[in-house]
Amino acid sequence: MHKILLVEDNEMNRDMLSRRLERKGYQVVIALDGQQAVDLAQSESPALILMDMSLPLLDGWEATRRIKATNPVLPIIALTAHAMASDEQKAKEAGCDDYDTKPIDLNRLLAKIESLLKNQVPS
Amino acid sequence: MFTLRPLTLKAKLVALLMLTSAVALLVSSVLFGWNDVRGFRSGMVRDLHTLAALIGANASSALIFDDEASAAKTLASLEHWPTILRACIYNKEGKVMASYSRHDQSGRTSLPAVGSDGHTFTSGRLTVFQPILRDSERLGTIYLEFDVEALNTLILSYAGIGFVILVGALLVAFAFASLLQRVISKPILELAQTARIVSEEKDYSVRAIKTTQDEIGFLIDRFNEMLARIEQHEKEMTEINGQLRKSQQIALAATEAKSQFLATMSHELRTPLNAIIGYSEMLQEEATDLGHEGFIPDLKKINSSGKHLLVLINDILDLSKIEAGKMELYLETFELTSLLQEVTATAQLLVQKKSSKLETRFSPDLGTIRADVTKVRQTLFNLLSNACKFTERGTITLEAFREASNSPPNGKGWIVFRVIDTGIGMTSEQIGRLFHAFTQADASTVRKYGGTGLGLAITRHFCRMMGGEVSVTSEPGKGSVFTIRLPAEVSDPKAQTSAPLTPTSQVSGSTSGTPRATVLVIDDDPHVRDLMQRTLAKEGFHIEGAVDGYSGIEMAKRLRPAIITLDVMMPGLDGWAALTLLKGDPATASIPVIMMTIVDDQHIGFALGASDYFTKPIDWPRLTRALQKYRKSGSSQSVLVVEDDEQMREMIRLTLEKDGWRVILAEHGRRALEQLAAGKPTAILLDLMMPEMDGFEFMEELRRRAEGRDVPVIVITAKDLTEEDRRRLNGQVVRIIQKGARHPDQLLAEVRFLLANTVGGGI
Repeated sequence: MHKILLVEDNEMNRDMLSRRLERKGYQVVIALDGQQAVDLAQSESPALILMDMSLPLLDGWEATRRIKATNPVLPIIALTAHAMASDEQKAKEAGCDDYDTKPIDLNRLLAKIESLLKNQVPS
Repeated sequence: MFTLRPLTLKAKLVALLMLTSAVALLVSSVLFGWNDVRGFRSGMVRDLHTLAALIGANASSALIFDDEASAAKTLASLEHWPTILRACIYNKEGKVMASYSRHDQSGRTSLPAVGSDGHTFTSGRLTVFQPILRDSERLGTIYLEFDVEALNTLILSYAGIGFVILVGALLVAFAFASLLQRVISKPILELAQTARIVSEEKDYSVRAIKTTQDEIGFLIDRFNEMLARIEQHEKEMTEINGQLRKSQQIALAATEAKSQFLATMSHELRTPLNAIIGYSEMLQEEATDLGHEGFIPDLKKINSSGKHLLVLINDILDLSKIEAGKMELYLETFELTSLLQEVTATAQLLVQKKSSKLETRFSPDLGTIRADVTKVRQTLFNLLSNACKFTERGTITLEAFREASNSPPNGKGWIVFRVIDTGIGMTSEQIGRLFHAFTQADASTVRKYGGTGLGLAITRHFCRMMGGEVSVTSEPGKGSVFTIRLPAEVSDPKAQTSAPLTPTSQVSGSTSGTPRATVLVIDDDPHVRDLMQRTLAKEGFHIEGAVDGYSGIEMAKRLRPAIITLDVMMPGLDGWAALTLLKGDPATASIPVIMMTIVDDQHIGFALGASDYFTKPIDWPRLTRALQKYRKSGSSQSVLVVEDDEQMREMIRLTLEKDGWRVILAEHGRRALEQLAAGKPTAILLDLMMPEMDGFEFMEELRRRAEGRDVPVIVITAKDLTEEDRRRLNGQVVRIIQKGARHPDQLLAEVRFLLANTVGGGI
C-alpha cells in the first residue's frame, strides 16, 4: 500500500481528501503546515506528497524546495486554489513533479498520482 | 503686437485729423491765392490800359504834328514807372515815332511791329497795343511792355505764406488732434485693457467703465453683459465640475468597494463551497460502495448545484478583478489544436444534453499562439456553452483559422475563432446589450436559460486584454455567429515598474551560499528606500524597492519576500488599500507587513497593530494555530484574555489551558492593563466590545506603554469588522511604526528588531 503524505491546512479539505484517498487504497499521513511536511517527509518516508501551497509557517513552495533538497526523487504534486498558469510554473520551479488545482477532481488527481507512482515499488 | 495696436489707433486718428485739416487748408489757400493773383492781374491790365490811354492822350498832338521829339519826351516821362520795360509810339502808318527802354533794357533793339489791339502775357511780360484816338479818329498806336516780375514775386510770397500757414496750422491741428483723439480712443483702449485682464487673469468679475453714451458706450455695455454671462457660466461650470468630481469620486469609491466586496465575498464563498462539492462527491462514492444507490441522484443534484454556484462565483471574481484592474495576463506559447480539442471535449457534454451536434473546422496551419492559455480556454468555453444554452437539436460549429496580415499589433497576424450556432438568435437590440455585465440579451432569457450574464462581459474583457476583440452577428430564429480575433502573439502589457535601489551595497560580505531573506520596501520616497537599503543590507537582508502600491503588490507576488514594509501615505493606491489587497490574495496573505506611517500621535489610535483577528463563533483550531506562532521556547507561556462575557472567557481559558498555556483573565480593558503590570504575557486575546474600556481604547493604551508595545494582540469580535475597524486594528499587521516623528536610527532599530523576530520561520 502506497503511503501518501497529504499537506493541507484546511481541515475540511484535509478530511475529505484523506478519506477519499484512503478509500482508494492509499495510506494517508497528514501534515498541517510546511514545517511538519518537511519533518514527516523525512520520518515517514512517504511514496508521494500532495502539497497545498498556501500554508502557515512554511509555505508549500519552500517546503517543496527543502524536501527536494534532501530527497530529489520523492514525487510531489502541488495543489493550489488558483488556477493560474504562473502557479503551475512556480510549483514546477520549486521542484514539484506535477500540479493540480482545487477543488479537486479526484479522478484526475488519482491519474496523476498513479502515473507518478508507476515506477515505484509499494512499501 | 499688443502694444502696437492701440498706438496705431491713436496714430490713425491723429493722421486722419491732420490730413483732413491739411487738405482743407491747402484747398482754401490755393483758391484764395488764385483769386488774388487773378485780381492783381486784371488790376495790372487795367492800370496799363489807363497808362497807355494817358500817354496816348499826351502824345496825340505830337502825332498830329508828326513831332517825334515831343513824342519821345512824352515817353521819357515813363522813367518814373519802374515796371515799364519798354514803350513805343507808332504813327498811323505803323512807323515808330518814338521809343523808350528802361535803362537796363537798352540792349534790346528790335521793337515789335504794330500788333492788334489788346494785351498779352508773354514770358514774364505784359504787353499792350492800344490805339491813340482823337474824336474816334485813329492817330497811331501805343505799345507798352510791362514787367510782371512783381506778379511772380507776389505768387511766390503767397506760396511762402501759404506754406508757413499750412505748417503752423498743421502743428496746431496736431496738438488738437492729439488731445481730441482721446475722446474716441480712450474708452476703446480702456475696453481693450479690460479685455486683456479678463483673458490673462481669467477674472470674469471685472467690468469695463462706461464714460460715453455713443456707440463705444453701447459697445462697452454689450461687452459687460457678455462678461456677466460668462461669469455666470463659469460659476455654474465650476459648480457642476465640483459636483461631477465629487460624484466621480463617490462612483470610483463605490466601484472599488464593490469590487473589493465581490472579491472578498467570492473568496469567502469558495471555501465552504469546496466542502459542499467535495463531500457530496465523496458521499456519492460512498453510497456506491455501500449500495445506497437511492441517494445518488440527490447527491448528484447537490454536487452539480455546488459546481454551478462555483462557476458563478468564479465569474463574479473574474469580473471584480477586471473592474478593479487587477486581472493579469500570463502569456505563454502553446499548441492551438490541443487546446481546441480539450475545449471541444468539454463542450461535447453540454451539446449532447441539448441533443445538438458539435462540428469543428480547424485549419491545418493553426500552429501555436502566444497568449494566456487559461483566458483563451475560458473565452472559447464561454462562447460554446452560450451557444449550447440557446441551441436545441441544432448544430454548433467551432472554427479556427490563422489570418495572415501585417496589420497591428505586431504584424504576426491573427488567430480567428468562430462559434456558429443554429439557435434562437438575437435582434440587434439584444445584441446591443449583450456584452454588458449582469445583462443578458433579454431579462426573460435569464428565467428560461439561467446564467449570470457575466460570461460574455468577461469574454470581451479577456479578448481586449489580449489585444483582440469579440464580435457577433445574429438573426432571430436562425442563429448567431460569435467571432474572436486574437493576435497570434499577444504582447505583454506589463511594464516593469520596480524601482531600482541605489547600488550602495553590492551584496557586501553576505554569507555566501545561504539565500538571504528578502525585504520588500514599498515606499514612494526614494530616501526611505535608500535608507532601508543601506541599513538592512548590513543586517544581511536583501532589499527590493517598489515605488507604489500596485508595483509593490506585483513584486510581492513575484518575489514572495520574507517581509514587506509598506508606507501608509502613497499616491495612487495608499498603504491601507495595498495592505488589504496583499492580505486578500492567498499568494501574499502570509507575508508579514510592517506599516510605515507618518501619522501623528493623535491618529495612532487608528493604526494600533493587531496581529490577527477572529470573529465569533471562534474557529478554535485556527486560534490555537495563531497563538502557536507566538510561543517562545523557555519563557513563561501566558495569554492574557480580555473578554467581558464570562462564558466565553471560560471557554477560551479551558481551550488554551488544554494547549499548555497559562491563562490570565480580565473582564475589560482597564483590568487588563492592571494585569499587564504584573507581567508581560506572550500574547493577548482581545474582545472589542466591552464595558469600562473597550478593545480599541485598550489597544491605544497598550501601545503607549513600553511593556505593551510589542505584545502580539489577537482580536476576537462578535461583529464583522468594518473597514474603519480594520484600519483601527490594522488587521494582520505585525506592527505599526511611526515614521518621521522619531529619530531615523530609532526607527531602523525597530525595523531591525521586528525583522529579526518575524522572519524567524520565513526563509
